[in-house]
Amino acid sequence: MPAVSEHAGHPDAIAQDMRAAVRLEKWNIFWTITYVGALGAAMGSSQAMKTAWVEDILGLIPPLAFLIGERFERRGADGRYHYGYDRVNGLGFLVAAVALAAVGVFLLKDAVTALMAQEHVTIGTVRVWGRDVWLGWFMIAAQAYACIPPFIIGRKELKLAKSLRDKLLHTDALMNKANWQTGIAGILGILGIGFGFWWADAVAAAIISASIIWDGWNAMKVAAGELIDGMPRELGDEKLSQEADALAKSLHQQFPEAKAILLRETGRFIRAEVVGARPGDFNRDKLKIDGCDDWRIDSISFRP
Amino acid sequence: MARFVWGLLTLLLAACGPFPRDIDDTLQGIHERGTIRVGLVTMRDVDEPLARDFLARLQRESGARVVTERGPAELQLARLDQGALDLVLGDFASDSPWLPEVAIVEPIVDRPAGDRSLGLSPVAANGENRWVGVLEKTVRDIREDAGRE
Repeated sequence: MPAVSEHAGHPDAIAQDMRAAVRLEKWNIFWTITYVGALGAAMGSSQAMKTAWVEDILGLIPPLAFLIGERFERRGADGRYHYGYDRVNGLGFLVAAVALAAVGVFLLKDAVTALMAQEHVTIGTVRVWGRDVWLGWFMIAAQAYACIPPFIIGRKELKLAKSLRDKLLHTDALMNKANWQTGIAGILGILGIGFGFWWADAVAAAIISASIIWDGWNAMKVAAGELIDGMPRELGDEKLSQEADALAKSLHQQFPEAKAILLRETGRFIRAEVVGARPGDFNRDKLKIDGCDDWRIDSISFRP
Repeated sequence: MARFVWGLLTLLLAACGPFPRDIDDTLQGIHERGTIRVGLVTMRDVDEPLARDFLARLQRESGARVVTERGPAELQLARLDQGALDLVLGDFASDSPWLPEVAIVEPIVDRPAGDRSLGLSPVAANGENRWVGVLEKTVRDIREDAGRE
């Protein structure tokens, strides 16, 4: 059976940015593995360190989901998937969001339990070249290192996510932001223990967990909205997309007899359906809409 | 977030002093009292001289007099947990069920016992990071002198 989707592979307008995003995500995975290893080696019994470490491991899910989704998306439609694989990106986004929120809840429970039990964390020393050095310094160094890659990569991702209208990439950018903030909270937790505040570590872990849950909850709402054919949303927001609004207005002007203009989002693309109107001599290729990039409109169908 | 960071930094600066500190001020208590309260538990006869050497070094290191009391391990660890002792010294497994409740320092000397490793280990209350550092240093000095490192 021939493919029937309107496009195969990435549109030319975003192909270059997609390649840049793929490169960036590969670097993201590489750097994440290096600092997950460093944090794991220096983790000890600190709750905040454990929380930050788990969060950093979870940070691998969005870039992996993006790379998998991108490969599928590139394939275009086939006999089994007539509308192509655009929504694999959305599925990856949901998986990442659920994992993020669930682990946030688990870590918050751990932190609250530690606070309620008034657990005192022991951080010992290690002998290096004849000197006994507090392990907390190694933990702080590992955390400081773990702050650098997410800070740089997250900012680059944000720019690409905007141009690609990629929610998964945007979630990853937010996760990277959460990761470097987690690193700072973790450092403060370790310093707090060093100054004799038993609660500092667990409080830092609880704050980090709450931020993970908040990010996960917001991402879940947007991901679920896309999967149940909700109206296209702005990146990182529940607000309706301005581009979708511009498209709907333009179609209303061209087809004033239409009873409704229905819009849904499949991955980064928008599909429109004009209800109660016939296309007549409408030419999709001549459609130019202010405030909506042409490549975003995947298809416009008519239901007379 | 920024407010939290600045708030915590202010608290940390206000708490300047020795670093790291003990959460329950064990080492400060030792200096103030002039004594280290040690609970001795079962150990092999062959390890007794090592335990005496450890306590003598600890005495020199801290400048405080060692006061020992013998008793069963369960009782001594419970007293350590309650703050009635500064240190428990005896034979402990590296995976003792007490491990989450107390800090078992690396052993002065260890030996295999079935699948486990048993060792003559000092045990401190959790979170007493400065005091644990002193115990670890003393253990390592003995091990180095004995060529066990």
